[in-house]
Amino acid sequence: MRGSSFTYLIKEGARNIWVNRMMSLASIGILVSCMLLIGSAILLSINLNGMVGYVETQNEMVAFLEDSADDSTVSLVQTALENNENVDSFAFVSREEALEQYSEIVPESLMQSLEEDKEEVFPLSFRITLKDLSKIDQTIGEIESIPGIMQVNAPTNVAETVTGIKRAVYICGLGIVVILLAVTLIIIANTIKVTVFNRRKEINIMKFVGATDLFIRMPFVVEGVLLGFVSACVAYLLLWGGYSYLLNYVQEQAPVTVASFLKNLVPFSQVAKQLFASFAAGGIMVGVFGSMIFVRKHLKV
Amino acid sequence: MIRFSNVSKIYDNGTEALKNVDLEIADGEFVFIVGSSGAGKSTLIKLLLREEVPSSGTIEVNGYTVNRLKRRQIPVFRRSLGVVFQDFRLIPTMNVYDNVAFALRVTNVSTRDIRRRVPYILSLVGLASKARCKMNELSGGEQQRVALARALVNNPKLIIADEPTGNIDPELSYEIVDLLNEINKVGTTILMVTHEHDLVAQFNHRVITIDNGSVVDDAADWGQR
Repeated sequence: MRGSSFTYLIKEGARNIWVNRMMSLASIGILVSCMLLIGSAILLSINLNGMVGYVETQNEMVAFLEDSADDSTVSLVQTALENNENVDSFAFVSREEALEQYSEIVPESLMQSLEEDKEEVFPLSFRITLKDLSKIDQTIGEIESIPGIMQVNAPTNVAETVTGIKRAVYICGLGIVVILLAVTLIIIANTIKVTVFNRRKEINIMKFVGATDLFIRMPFVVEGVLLGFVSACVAYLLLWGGYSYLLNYVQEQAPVTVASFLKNLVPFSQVAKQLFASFAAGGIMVGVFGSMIFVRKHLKV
Repeated sequence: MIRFSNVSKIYDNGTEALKNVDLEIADGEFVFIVGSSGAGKSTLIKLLLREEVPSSGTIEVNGYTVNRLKRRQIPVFRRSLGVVFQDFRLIPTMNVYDNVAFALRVTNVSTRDIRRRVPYILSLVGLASKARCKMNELSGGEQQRVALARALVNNPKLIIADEPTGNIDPELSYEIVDLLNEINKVGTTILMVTHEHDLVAQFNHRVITIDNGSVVDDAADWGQR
């Protein structure tokens, strides 16, 4: 194919968008709507996951050391915790710190009833947060097996609940995105089908003047690429604006009690690149393959 | 040259559109094909354009054995023909110039040659001043002349005209056939399908009559009868 023919076909694709502008607008509208729905579902799913993840990190377990534990035992436990793959973070709590924390929650009268050397009552301990709460039982076992550990207190019931919620959010999010994708493909396939059907006479004429299948398809493919890309840009900008506005609104209006919880909402900039790349790739692919498949039907002349 | 050797066409629904047709049209001839509605004229054109394949027999056109063409050879074969249809089959979203240039673009002709050839052909059919007009700004006769220009622009050896005057006024019909006549004088073979006997009678050309799928008459002196 000559360079001039190639340029002509690209120009034809772009020209066709303008010539069939109502249909092009309808296609863009449908593509944008579908991308917005899928994008919103993805953002919702990411945020719910993020919130559950935040709850997960707030769940601490406490590992108490044996009374006889000395500095070398502490450093041994510390090393073992550092090497444990499921331990996200940990903090050593001395007897003095434990007493201080205890005294904040226990009435003063009760504290006074304790004998002298009150701090000796409290064992040395480590406060530990986990990366994956679903492995809490396994991790408890691992920590309990570290020499010098007397006992591990862990909120296993809470962990089970949080893990269950997390799994449910993941499955629901995935399910919604898959359903929306399927619906989107059906709608877009029909839109392209109608677009191509409206121009079947044009395709027929091209065949009778000796155009090859590639020559006929090219402008449709170019059209598909351009419509897909424009739709991706529009959907991205709308989602960006809408999501950022909503995020600001929620964070400003939220009561102080949940403010720290809402801080974990994902800012748009964090997912922007991936979202735009997915929209653009999805839009272009749907445009290209849709055009190729549905034009094919009319090429058999 | 066109040669039909014992060609039959039976459609899937059992309709026998053509029955054992033998036909030969030499290079440079002007031939009318006449017949009533349903006689088999359209099937004959479809077979010539390789829109359909015969159920039996062989069709040769411009050196191609049409019924044996592979799918990828069809575009190349069609470029050796010029086709004019009753409903013009012009692309409504393109102007006159682009409709004609389109036939050159599909054959990979350079832009420079297109700029030289299209205005020349448009002046031949008397539409040089309407090059930038859209199809809905032209009369039926003018649209048919655009279709004729598109058929001519590739300099084909054969022009197939399927009822080219079916959608235009009688006085303009004569003009179109006269234009085809002029094209024939420079050596292009013309095959024109029509049911307008009065029009055919005005020109002294070979006339093949088809009835019920068979060639029932093939006369060089049809106009004098």
